Amino acid sequence: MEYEPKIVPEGINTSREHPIREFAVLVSGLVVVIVLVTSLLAVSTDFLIQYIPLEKENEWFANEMFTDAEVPEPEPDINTLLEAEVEQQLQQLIVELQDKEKTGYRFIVNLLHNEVPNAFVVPGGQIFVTSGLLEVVASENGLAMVLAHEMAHQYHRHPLRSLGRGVVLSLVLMVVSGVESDGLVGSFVGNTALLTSLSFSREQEREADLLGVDLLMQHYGHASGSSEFFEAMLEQPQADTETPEFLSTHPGIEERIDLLRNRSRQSSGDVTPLPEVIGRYLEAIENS
Amino acid sequence: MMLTNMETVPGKTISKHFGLVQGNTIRAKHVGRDIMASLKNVFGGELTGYTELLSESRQEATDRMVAQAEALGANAVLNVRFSTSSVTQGAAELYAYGTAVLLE
Amino acid sequence: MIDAIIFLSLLLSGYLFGQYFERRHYKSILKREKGSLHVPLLTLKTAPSGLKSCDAALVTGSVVVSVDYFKRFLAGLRTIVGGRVKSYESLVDRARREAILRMKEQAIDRGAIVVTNVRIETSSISKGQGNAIGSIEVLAYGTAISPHQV
Repeated sequence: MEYEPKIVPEGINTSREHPIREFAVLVSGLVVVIVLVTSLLAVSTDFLIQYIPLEKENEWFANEMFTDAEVPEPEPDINTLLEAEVEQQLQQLIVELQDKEKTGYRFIVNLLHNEVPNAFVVPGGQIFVTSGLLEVVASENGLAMVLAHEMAHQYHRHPLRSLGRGVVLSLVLMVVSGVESDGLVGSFVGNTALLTSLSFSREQEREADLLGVDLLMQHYGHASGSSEFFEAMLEQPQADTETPEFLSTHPGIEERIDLLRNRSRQSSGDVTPLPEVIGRYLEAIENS
Repeated sequence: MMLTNMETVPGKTISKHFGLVQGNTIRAKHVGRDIMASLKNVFGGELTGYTELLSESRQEATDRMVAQAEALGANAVLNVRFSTSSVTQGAAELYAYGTAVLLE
Repeated sequence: MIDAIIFLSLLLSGYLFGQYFERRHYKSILKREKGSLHVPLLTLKTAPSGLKSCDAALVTGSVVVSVDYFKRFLAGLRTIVGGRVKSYESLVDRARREAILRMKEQAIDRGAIVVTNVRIETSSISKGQGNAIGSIEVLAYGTAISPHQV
C-alpha cells in the first residue's frame, strides 16, 4: 500500500458565491416578502374589523377601563372642581361638534393633568386631552379642531382598527422570530414590518384631519383657527422637524398646517374665544 | 465510487492511498418547516421536515467527499465516518470523512 | 435611526475584517498543507504493513474559530429562507483544516511517517445571545507512528 501525496482541490466544501451578492439577494427578497405580508395582513384586518358592530366595541371598552377609578379620591380640592367644570365644557363642545347623522357613536372626554400637549382617542370613543394642550390653543376653534380630529378617528373606527392590526402583526412576528436563533434577524424583520405599518398610520392621520376640519366647518361655518394647535407645536422647543416622514406615525407637521391653512383661506370667519373656566383652571394648576 | 466503513474490502487489495478526504455541508430549513416542528412539539410524531433536512445534508456531504476522492484519482473511500453538529439553531451541519484509496 | 446605523456599521466591519482574516487564514492553511503533504492521514485502524520497531503516540490538534457579525446575520436570514448556509461553510472548512494541520504538525515534530485512526470531533462553543452559536471548536486526533530513532 503506497502513499501518493496529492493536493485536494479547493472549492468542493466551500461555495464560490460572493457573500455580498448573497446578502443583497436575501435581504431584498426578505424585505419584499415582509412588506407584502404586512400590507396584506393590515388590509384584511382593517376590512374585517369594520364588521364588529359599534355597540360591541362600546361594550368591551367600557368607561371603567380607562379612568383611574381604582385610585381613592382625596377630598375634592379647588383643582378637582375646576377640572370637572372644564371637562363639562369640553363634553359640551363635543356634543356640538358631533355629526348628527352618524348614530351609535359615543364620546366621553377626560382631562389629564400633564404638561406635554397631547390628545388621543381609544377604542370605545374615550377622548383624552392634556392640560398642556389647553395651554397652547388660543381660541375655541383651535381646541375644537383637536377634538374634531380625535372624533374623526373614531368615526372612521381607527382606534379599533389600529388595535386589531397591531395584535395580528405582533402575533405573526412572534411566530416568525420565535423560530430563529438570533436577535439580529428578528429585529430586522420586526423593524421592516414596523416601517410598513407606519404608512397605514400616516394615512389614518390624514383622513382624520380631513373629516375633522369638515366637522369644524359644520359647526362654526368656517375653518379659521383650525391650524392653531399645529402651529403652536411647531414653535415648541422639542418640535421634531428632523425625523424623516417615513419613520413617523404622523404626516409632517408642515403638510398638515398647509392643509388647514388652505381650508381657512377658503372660508374664514371670526374665532370664538376659549371658555373662561379653562383660563382659571390653568392658573390654578400653575399656582399649585 | 465505493464507500464503506470497513477497513478492508473482501477480495480486493489496496494499491495506493491518498490520505484523508472530507465533505461537509450546512443546511437550514425555512420558517414554514420550523413552525410545523414547533407544533409537533405539542402533538408528537416524526419531524419529517427535519428528517428530510438531515438526510439531504448527509447526501450532500457524502457527495462532496466523493468529489474530493475522485479529484485525487481514488476509486473507493474506506472507513467512512459521519459526524453531526449544530452550528446555529434551525441549521444542521453534516460532516463525512474517510480514507481515499485505489482498490484493485 | 441610530440603531440602524450601528447595525450597518457592525455588518460592514464584520464583513471587512471577516474577509481579511479568512483570506489570511486560507493562505496560511494552503502553505502548511503543501508543506506537510509527505505525512499521510488514514482513518484506518491498522497501520500500514511493513513497519518495524515504531513508536506510536496520540497526537491532537484543536482550534476554536469564531463567527463575525456579517456571517451570523447571513446565517440568520438563511434559517428563515432555507437552503445552504454558505457563509458558515468556509468557516467550518477552515476550522477543520486548521485542526488537522495542527495534529499533523504535532506528528511531524515527533518524526512521524503516518498518522492512523484519525478522528475529528466538532462542537459549538459559547451559545451567545439566545441560541446563537458564536464559535466552532474542532478537535482532530490520531495515532502518530514514528520509527525509532536509532
